[in-house]
Amino acid sequence: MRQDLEILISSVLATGVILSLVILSIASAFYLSDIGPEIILSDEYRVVSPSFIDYVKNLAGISFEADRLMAVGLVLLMLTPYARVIASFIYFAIKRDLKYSLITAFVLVVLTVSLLTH
Amino acid sequence: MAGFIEVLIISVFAGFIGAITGLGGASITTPLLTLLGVPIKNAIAAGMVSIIATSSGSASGHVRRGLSDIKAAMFLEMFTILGAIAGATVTLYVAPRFLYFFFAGFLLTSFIGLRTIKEELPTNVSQDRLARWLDLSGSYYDDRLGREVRYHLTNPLLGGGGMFVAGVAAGMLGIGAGAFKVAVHELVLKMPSKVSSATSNFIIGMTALAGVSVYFNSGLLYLDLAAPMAVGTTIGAVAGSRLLRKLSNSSTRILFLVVVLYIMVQMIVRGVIG
Repeated sequence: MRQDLEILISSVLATGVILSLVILSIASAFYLSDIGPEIILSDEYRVVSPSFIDYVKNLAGISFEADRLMAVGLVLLMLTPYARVIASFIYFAIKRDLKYSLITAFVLVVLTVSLLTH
Repeated sequence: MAGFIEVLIISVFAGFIGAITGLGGASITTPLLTLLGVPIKNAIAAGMVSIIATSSGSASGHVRRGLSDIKAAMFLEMFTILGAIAGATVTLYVAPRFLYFFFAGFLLTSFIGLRTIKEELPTNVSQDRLARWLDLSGSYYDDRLGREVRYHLTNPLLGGGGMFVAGVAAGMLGIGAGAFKVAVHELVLKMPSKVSSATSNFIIGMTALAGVSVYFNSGLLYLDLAAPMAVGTTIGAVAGSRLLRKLSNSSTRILFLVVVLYIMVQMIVRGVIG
């Protein structure tokens, strides 16, 4: 069972990372063609948001501008470790491992609260 | 200021080393970027994202090979995550110069600590009661030795304390604190090198996510700095994790030492120059 879960987790992670990488690469190509080789630290590219969840909500609506695409790619990347914690929780829950289900739940809760606030 | 392509190239290199040594990449990119003129706090914020890239990029390989110790990782993460949130909050307010020195000092401790280990694999580990209660044992298939290796961890509470400190450093400096974490894993918990690199990578991802969430309202994170770092680091990390299982536990250790020494010197120089 651990084999299966590990294969599942690794596929999810791989998919998430590859997808985010593809999106970021496309965004980078747009960036290089629109703006050029220098990195400009402008407000368009600045992340300022009361919280991660707020930031994600503001991304609604498909757009192919470099800054939008970069934001989507990065959010997707950031969700991969989150998915991994959830998967670990499910793993311990299915195994009926109370100790580690609680331990993982603790981490999950702290992480979630952190993403929902700030 | 560094250009897009330069950041990309440095990140590929950092991701590769990061996956192999369990350092997480930002320990290398952040210092190098500051040398190229990027303000340190911006490099830290963007670097946090690249840590997640390294962690997840190499993780799929580690997970498939059964090298990450999920139990140890989750237990330790309870401490690390709290440290990261605290550390990131501190960085929002502290003067940049202190960040360089803290960086160097931090790496120094892990460098000194690791030098004292000689054996390939830890032997005769006797577990304390908490470790046994937490069932902190595992096994993995060591490609180089060509056999299944069984291991037992111990001193989880002390390890947890160490991981809290690692978390603070991670949140504060935007590094995976891989150097320190691996030192804690190997010296305190008696984890075999390859398992510690893989487990460290797992922990780093979760920790960095907690850390970066603190920066969201700060305006320190720039997408066009984070994007090339993330892309480059992921590419490097995927390549690096392919190589990890082929290395002996000793080579991993040596590579680790060399990289840590280089970065440490760089940080001291920057802290002095200002």
